[in-house]
Amino acid sequence: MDYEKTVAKTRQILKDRLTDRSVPDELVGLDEQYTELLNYMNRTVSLGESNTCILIGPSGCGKTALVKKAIQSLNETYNNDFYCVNLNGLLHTSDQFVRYQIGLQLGQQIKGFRSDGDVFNLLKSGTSNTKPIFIIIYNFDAFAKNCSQLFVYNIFNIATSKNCPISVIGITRKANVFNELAQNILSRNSYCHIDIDRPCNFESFAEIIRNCLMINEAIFDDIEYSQEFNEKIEELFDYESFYNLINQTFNYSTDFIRSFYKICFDAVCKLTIDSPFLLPEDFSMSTLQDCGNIDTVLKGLTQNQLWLLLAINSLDLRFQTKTFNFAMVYEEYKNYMKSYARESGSTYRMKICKEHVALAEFEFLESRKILQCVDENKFQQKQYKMMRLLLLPEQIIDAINDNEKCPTMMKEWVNRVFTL
Amino acid sequence: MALEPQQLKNILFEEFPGRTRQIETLLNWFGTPKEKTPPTIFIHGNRALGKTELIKRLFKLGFTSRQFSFLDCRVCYSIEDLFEIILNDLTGEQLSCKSINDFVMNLQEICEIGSETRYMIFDNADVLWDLFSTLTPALLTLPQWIGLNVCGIFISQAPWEKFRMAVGIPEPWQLYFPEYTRDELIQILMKSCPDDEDPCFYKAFVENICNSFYENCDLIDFFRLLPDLFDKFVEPIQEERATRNDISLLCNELKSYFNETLDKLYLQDISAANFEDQLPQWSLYLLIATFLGSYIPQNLDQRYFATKACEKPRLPRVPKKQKLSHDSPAKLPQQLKGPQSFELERVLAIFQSIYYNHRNIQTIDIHQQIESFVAHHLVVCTVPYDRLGSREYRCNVSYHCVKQVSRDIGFDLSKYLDEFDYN
Repeated sequence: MDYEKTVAKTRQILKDRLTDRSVPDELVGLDEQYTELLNYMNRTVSLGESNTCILIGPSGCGKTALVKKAIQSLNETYNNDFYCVNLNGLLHTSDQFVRYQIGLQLGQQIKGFRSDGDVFNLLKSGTSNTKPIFIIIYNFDAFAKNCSQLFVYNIFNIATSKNCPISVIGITRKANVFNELAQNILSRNSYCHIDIDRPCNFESFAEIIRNCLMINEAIFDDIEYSQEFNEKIEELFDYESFYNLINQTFNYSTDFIRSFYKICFDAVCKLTIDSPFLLPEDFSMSTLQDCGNIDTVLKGLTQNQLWLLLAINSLDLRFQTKTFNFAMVYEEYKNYMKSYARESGSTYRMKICKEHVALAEFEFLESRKILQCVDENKFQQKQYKMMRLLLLPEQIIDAINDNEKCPTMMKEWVNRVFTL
Repeated sequence: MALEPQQLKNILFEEFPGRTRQIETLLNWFGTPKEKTPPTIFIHGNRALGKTELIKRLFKLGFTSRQFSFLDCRVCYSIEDLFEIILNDLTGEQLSCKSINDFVMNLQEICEIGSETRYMIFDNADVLWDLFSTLTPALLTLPQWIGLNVCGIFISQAPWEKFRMAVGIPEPWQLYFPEYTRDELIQILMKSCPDDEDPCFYKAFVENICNSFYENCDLIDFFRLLPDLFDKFVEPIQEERATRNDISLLCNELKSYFNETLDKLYLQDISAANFEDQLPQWSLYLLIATFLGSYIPQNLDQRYFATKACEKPRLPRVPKKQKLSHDSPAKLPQQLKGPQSFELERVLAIFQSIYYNHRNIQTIDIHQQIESFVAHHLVVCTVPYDRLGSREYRCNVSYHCVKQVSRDIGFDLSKYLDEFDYN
């Protein structure tokens, strides 16, 4: 029973980590950035300095972890003697929401803001003796876009004015975030930014994975189990299949850390009392292959839908139009079918898809976001609505060529379009 | 009452043939009730592959009612509704919720009550994009942002690539539902076997149907087709022309119905309401005039509609060879681009040309008739109402409809549309 609980606890801890709900104990390869950020935040708390700082880096590089870790460390040093306001640009999408959140997160005595001015007055009222405030803005680019320019300006203005210890930390994936800010905001920006990148070598990536899968022996009652668990993790790296998997993810995935977390998550789910350790065969690439991208969608199309796509492709090549409507596509399709029958001289009556069936298929393609309506607002009969293709011609051709069920007629059209 | 995991698994395996892997993956992800799940799960696949049904069934059997909220985004299309329904499902209370801010706070309160995972399921999630531009990114970020045990499940027919519009959305865990193979399809279709029918006999029928329609139909189509076809299938037996053992004969007989049934599949071929009875004859001519005005290019007007007196002798046309080269792409036939807009004067002229008795019709009547066409969407006004001066219109009636009308009143439409290879 105890053993079962231990396994469940392990599973819980690892799941927390792999779904980004807990901060890793150690940050690999980010020491420099960590010291920089901590120094900077430290100055705000100890000296009452106000400042702005933007963290820029691609997804999965550890921006959030870095900030959370720094806050954790400050908490320990200063015993919670500061406020922290967390905002997310994708979630707090208007001035009103942001205002409300700031009030809420700063505590009770300042509830019920009437206007922006109240918030600004409140933020401004701090002196070097009051508690410092960190305003941490995730998805900073979205924040700057969604909130009004004046609002963002005022927040920055306060954060760079002399006497109140407020520091704004923005976190964003957009490298060109500074270009998008208005001039008056930029003038209030202290241009402090920390660039973070994903680990650039394989060793540190492996190190991250190792750290993430290891469990802390100290928090387990069952020392034996946790030691054995960690030993098994070490062993994992000796297996070739596991090594290859890491290598593959590292080389072929963009967001490789998150991708590998997903692979690990599946393996961790399989931890039970019957198999209490992570084994190399639990890890497999199949999790990521489940991501149905547009090519898998194309594989699932019916023949009539593929015929329509081919007709669109042919239209594009023959008439060089990027936009088309159903009438054109159907006409093209019918013409091809007829000319094929004529040329091949077969007496077999070609089965041409009926117009209303084809139209239904055409609308289906639109619902799958393979086609897109050019002008939504224009009132027009269905057949004549102008559409645009959201695929590359090569994708259609590959889909036809890879599909074994397609008749030769179809494949010939692909070739013929090219010889035109 | 929630079922035991193993029991649940077995029931689902039985009910959803060909979905074993997806069921296992999902149950693995969900784990025990208190464990953390992936913050967002994106389920994607073609229509009629059991995405929604599977999720509905899984949650109905495996979870208690306050743990999840199932929402069809097509049914509930306002933001307040959406938030309030989710909160209502999760708490059982009627909470008012106006904005995402309120929603997040309410959700945080709910999650603090117990540590079980709460699930928010959004079916037809692609509709969310049309609702409010910042809503979808917010919902996708939310589970991760509040850091509590919430899981958002998004079911969509469009792939994830089409969702990745805003920077900063965390990548969800993805689950793809592939197409059924032929064997799986037969297994599913066997579920529609009537109780009093011999399964072997029915299977022979289903296999036969699958062979012919597998390429072109999905499950929805199949379920629509089967009852009718099965009636036809057993018809020879009822007429005592064959026995139940003559499968090949029955199959052969059935083939003659295939085309007919396929046509019926999408009943879009509803003929337009017959307004011939409701309108005076001259209005029908006017409608035809608007159609001609929309589809015949203006530069051909003289050729078609000019009175005899000013008709120029037609020059023998030199047949032009169509050249196909990449420098000068071929031109698309005009009529394929759809109806063009025309000025009222032009239609009046066409009307006078095609209607013999036009002198008896008051112009004011024609104007009124056009306006009533517009009101009935037979004709569309393409210039905004607030602009004074010339009004422009476009015909909105299909060729088939106009053909029907002209046949009824004895008007030879083909005389004017001879250049159209349009059937």
